[in-house]
Amino acid sequence: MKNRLEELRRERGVRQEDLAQALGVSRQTVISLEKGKYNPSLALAFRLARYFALPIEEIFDDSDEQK
Amino acid sequence: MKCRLNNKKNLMTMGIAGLVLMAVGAIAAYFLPDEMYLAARIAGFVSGLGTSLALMGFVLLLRRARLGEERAKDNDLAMTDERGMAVAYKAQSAAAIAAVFALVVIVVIAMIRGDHLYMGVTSMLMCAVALVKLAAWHIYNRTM
Repeated sequence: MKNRLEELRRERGVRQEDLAQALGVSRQTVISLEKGKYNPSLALAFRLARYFALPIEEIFDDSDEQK
Repeated sequence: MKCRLNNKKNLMTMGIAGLVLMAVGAIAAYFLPDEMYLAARIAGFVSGLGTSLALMGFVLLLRRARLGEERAKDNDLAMTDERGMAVAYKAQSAAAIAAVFALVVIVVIAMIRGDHLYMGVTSMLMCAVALVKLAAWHIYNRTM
């Protein structure tokens, strides 16, 4: 699943370490999420949405999954 | 056993406990008379267990020192956060498949060698594994 995590993080000038700490996950997890290698759980997706103050569908794009 | 990389005290305790077990096992094995064959074997096992624990503890301590405080903490979190759990789950599934194939190999070798005991025991173990998987599937299918 594609996502805009890296773009949103860079826009806000947040380091991967800080995002990881805010979400309660490791930096490795943030890297995997940004690369789209790992799809987060629903709980983590909600935490991300709250962190960026955006709806989930504005962060994650599931158009690939729907095909 | 979950051994947290950022917990220096746990690793130190593990290393020291390993050293103690290793020494106790080695000393016991050395001083036990020849006729106490089984006890000497147990002492050897204890000593081996101690050696592995000590090695594991001290290697992880060294790794922690090399990584530094921050990275060690992040490493520990990487093992326990949701991605870490997913990775561990996949690794465990792969190990379980490998274990079943190992059982198949043992059965084949036992058949070739005509070793009925190993053949029977391993075949029963394979059936037990299949039954456990079936039971677990039904339990998780109801509860999830």
